[in-house]
Amino acid sequence: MAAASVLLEADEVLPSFLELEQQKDLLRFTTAGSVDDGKSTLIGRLLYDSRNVYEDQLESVTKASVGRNAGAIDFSLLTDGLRAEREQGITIDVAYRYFATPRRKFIIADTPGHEQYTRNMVTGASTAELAIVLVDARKGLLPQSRRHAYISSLLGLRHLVVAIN
Amino acid sequence: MRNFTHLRQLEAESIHIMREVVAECQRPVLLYSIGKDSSVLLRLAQKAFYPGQIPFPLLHIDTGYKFKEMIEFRDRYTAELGVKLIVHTNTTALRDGATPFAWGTQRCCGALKTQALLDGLRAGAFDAAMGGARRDEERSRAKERVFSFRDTKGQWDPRNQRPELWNLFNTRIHSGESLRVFPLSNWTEMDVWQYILVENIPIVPLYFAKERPMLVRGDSLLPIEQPFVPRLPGEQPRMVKCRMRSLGCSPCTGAIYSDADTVQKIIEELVTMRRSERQNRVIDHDQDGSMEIKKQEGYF
Repeated sequence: MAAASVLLEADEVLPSFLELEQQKDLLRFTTAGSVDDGKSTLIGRLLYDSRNVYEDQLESVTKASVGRNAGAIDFSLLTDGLRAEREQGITIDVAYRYFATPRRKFIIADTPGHEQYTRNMVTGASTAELAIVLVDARKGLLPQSRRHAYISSLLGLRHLVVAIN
Repeated sequence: MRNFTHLRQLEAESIHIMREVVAECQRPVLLYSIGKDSSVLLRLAQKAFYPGQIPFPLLHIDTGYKFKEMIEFRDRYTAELGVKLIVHTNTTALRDGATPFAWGTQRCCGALKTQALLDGLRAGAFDAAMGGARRDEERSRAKERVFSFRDTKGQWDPRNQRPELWNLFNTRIHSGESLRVFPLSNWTEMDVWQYILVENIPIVPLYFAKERPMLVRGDSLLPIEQPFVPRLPGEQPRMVKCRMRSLGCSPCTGAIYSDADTVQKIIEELVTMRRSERQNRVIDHDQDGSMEIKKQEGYF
């Protein structure tokens, strides 16, 4: 949102902003990879850095980050929306988040890494056009990394990005 | 879908979802809350079945504490569209004196919204209830399927959601169970306003800035439509240029300072907005994970 605000300093710019908005296309992507390799944190960070997090949301996450051993802001809390997820520090089900840049709109599906929640990852990946497979450099490729990459290709995703954390 | 702009992609997805509901479910209903999202839902429903009439009734859960302007708009607009409107109110709780101040917001919402909704759905034997909730509104809503399963008590189990692949929706339920369906799942607040602008959709005038009497408490602007809203000693309402960013019950919905009196200006304001849409909704903040808890109990 804030990225777009630069375009809107004067009133007369609004019509062209709207015109620009009308031309935007939509990319749906998903995160994949093993548990604790940083999927939710990456999404949280992406939203934060592209200034798509509202102040009151950030305040509540900063407050909740105390004692979680993940720095001043635990970015995973931005997408882990269920109480059970926050208590256990894991993602159980897919969360959808939305953000925009001046060129494009994005829908992100943040999916769980746990093996037992693989079916929820499938749900999230099925509507995506691109998958980011996160790999923790300390652990290398794990069975879940390969499984998620395989499921993504099985679902017909043509674009895979491997991100080393 | 490839050559569509994002707005037309979202529109096509929502229309597909609505047609799927009508094709697959026995007694669908549209939960109509009178807000901007509901207005968008109605436009989508018109488009999905045009030139036919909207093939399901509207259900409004009236807590009795909605803004007067909302009710006026509801009656005028639904009559214009020629749709069937069902209004359900938990009259027992109202008679027992349910207000957010006397009962607390949790108990008041539980009776006037959640219980009333479950009763209203049961009374009409509806097996699928479509609503205008969006995933970008709140973090537990971000977790919900488009077709969201409810057990025989109308409750949501967030730890056991059904798989939902591509645009293939699982509509199979047993008798007594039901679905909540969210055609606007993937819309953002910005998308909704742009669609209202592009399609010229009527909305409640409360969304537009105007001088209104408000109790001013720090950054909060509290409407005084209901006589039971407690005042601090010596406190008098002041005329403030303000508007509603989201609409609910008047005692629990704060206004925001604003000069935006057209849809264009609202969009402009939205771009520079630094706080989220539901921060003025008291009920979202009465405990940690409060929306999730309300949803589990059957809240919309």
